[in-house]
Amino acid sequence: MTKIRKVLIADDDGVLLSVLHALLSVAGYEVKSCANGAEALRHSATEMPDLMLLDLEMPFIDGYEVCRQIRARDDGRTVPILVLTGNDAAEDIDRAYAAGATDFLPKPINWTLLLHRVKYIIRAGENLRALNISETRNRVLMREMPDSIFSLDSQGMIADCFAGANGLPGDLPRDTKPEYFDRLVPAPFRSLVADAIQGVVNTRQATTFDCARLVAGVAQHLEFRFLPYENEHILALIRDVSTRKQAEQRMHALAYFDTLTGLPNREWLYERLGQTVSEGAGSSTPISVIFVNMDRFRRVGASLGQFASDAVLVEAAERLRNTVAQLEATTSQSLPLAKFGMDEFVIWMPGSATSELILEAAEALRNSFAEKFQCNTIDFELTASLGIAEYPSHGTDVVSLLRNADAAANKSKALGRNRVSIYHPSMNNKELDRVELESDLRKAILEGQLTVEYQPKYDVDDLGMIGSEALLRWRHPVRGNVSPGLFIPLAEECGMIRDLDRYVIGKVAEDLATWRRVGLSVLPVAINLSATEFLNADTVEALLRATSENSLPASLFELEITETALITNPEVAKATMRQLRQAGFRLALDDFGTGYSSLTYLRDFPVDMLKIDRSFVAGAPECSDACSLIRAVIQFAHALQLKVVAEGVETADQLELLRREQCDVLQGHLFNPALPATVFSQLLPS
Amino acid sequence: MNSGDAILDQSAVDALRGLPSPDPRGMLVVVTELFGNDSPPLFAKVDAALNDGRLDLARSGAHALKSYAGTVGAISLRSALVALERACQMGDAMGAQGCFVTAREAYGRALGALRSQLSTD
Repeated sequence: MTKIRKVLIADDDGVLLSVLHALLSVAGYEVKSCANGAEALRHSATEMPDLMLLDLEMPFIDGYEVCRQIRARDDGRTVPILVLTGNDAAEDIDRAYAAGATDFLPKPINWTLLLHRVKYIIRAGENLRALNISETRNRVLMREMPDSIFSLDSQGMIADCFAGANGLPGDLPRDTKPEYFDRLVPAPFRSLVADAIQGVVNTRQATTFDCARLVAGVAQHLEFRFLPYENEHILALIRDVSTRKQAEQRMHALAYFDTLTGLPNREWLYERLGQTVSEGAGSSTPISVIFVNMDRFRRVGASLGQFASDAVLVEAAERLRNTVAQLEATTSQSLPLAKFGMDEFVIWMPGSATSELILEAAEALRNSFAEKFQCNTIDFELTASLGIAEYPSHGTDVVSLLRNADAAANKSKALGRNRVSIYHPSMNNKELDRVELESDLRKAILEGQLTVEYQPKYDVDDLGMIGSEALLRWRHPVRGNVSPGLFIPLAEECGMIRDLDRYVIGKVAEDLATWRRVGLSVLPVAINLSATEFLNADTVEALLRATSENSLPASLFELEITETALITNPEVAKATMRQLRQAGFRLALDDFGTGYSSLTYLRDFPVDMLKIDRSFVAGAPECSDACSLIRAVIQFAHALQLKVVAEGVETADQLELLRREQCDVLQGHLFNPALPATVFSQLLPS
Repeated sequence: MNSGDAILDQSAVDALRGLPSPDPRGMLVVVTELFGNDSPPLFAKVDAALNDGRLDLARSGAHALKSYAGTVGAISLRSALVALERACQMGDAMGAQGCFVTAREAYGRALGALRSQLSTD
């Protein structure tokens, strides 16, 4: 829709006014006629027209004054004012221009010319207004923008400059206008600036770069942008980006550094080690990754609290940092150190280090933990297990190198901790499997994949069933039956053994109670207790609770413990055993002959029976040593009034041997395997 | 050239005649009526100013009348008013009186000529 332009005419010539009004109205303008200057000002105060046609000589207020007043208004600065004058005097025309007239038209008026003049002067006025708006906007932007802007010729000479909101960069005063642009740039960057200017001149493509300098001891970062401009000139923009750079550096620190220890973090490690590996790609130059895993660190947090464990981590990081600094001094190599996990650190040795040197470095790192740690006035020992993996033989990418170094560190842990292991491919599969199995075992407890089976035990004389051993079974949904030899040690390692022990105690008590309720004659059941849980006071409570809640006599429970439980803390073990015996539980020493097998234990610890380990029974009767050992154990046990149980009896020859040696109780596949509770219950007499 | 030609600029008159007009009688009719109605009061003001010796007022009135004359193409009238305006500017009261008389006569002739143009339309 075409906009209708408004024209205001002011003239005391009524004849002219009428003609102009008619002429312009017919031409499509909205016309307002005024007989004098005062009326013109009054109307324009309400609505500023797109054009004013103004007679100079009018009563009351003449055209000159109207011009001045219109121009004094914000909305009147760009309104075109076409002066109609019958005066030919040059000074009158000059005066009209000085008062703000845009142009003049002499009287008598050429009507045709007038229409053209009106049309084009309105258009010029609109352009001027648009330019004015743009100019105002640019002025505001320029005032607020932080850039200093320079117009340069192709030689870098400054033609014009505008200091941004922050003034000119550095210590240059606001009014400074140096001759050449490169004077604004720190000397080391002048050639860079010259090249950038020449590049823009040649290619007419914009270019940007940053540089930094020290101003009063503080780093100032400047961003330079060069843009092609008119007439082969260049616009150069300088912006002080120090604040942004500081923020970027802060973000970088947050993203790539551990806030507790100040060491580079895992992200940094992946990037930098990745870079080192990429640089070494295709070459046979090894890169050695040393994985440091603190031993039993979780216990620090559990026993001393979070603040203490944080302090220990900071101390550990500091020690490693010092060791690395010494190694760097010795080897003249940069050895990056990063924090990988909560209590894990990684160091890598790029380049030409020999195997001996790497092992020496790893030992030095291990020795960082030799001195005791102190926290809350408590001194304690803390060691680290280390693993080494090498590029390219142990992995050709960051992930596999770290995973394998970690596997080697885990191997060090498995071998007794506080040592260094070098990666071997066999470690990884086992470790992966172990991690997966650990996760599955947690689910198994929750999802009821565990069951208890019962293997009957028989009296050697009449082969009548005199009891059973409860054996934990795990039916994995994918793996099928998982061997207890696999998952029991795993549960001990990862702290789940207590849950397993409690499950077995509860389940056995529940089954015994059920069988009694249905009128079966129940027999004692042996339960295996782990060494760690046996020493735990809670376990005694759990056993007592299981018996009382199910109204069962404690004599129905035989508790099988290993020698390990006795030697870890003999005094506690002895006290626990006495407490259990007083409560009516019977105690058996399991796997006898495989561990320390000190006969002193049999004298000092209040046990009721011994279980000869299945490995000896398996060797009999062919292996004479096994037979001798079986005989010796049985005789010694009988001398101490202890009963002897042989497990793993699978053949008639073994049965015969054990009978001959007067073993008391037999257990094994020759009689029955471990049976599900429902099957086993059918063997119980009514 | 007849006497009417000397009084009016025929091209200016024709231009007015050709202009669009809100009045169906045409722009020349409107302009002639305005010229006939508005000019006499102005002449009276100039006359009074000259009699009072107010040459500035007389000049101003002459200037306005000059604009009228220009618009309708009254050549001889405009010339007389230019002379009157100058005389007033120069403070020539006697000359101004003479110019005024000439201008008033020229006005009569110009108005008559315009009206006769209308009668021929």
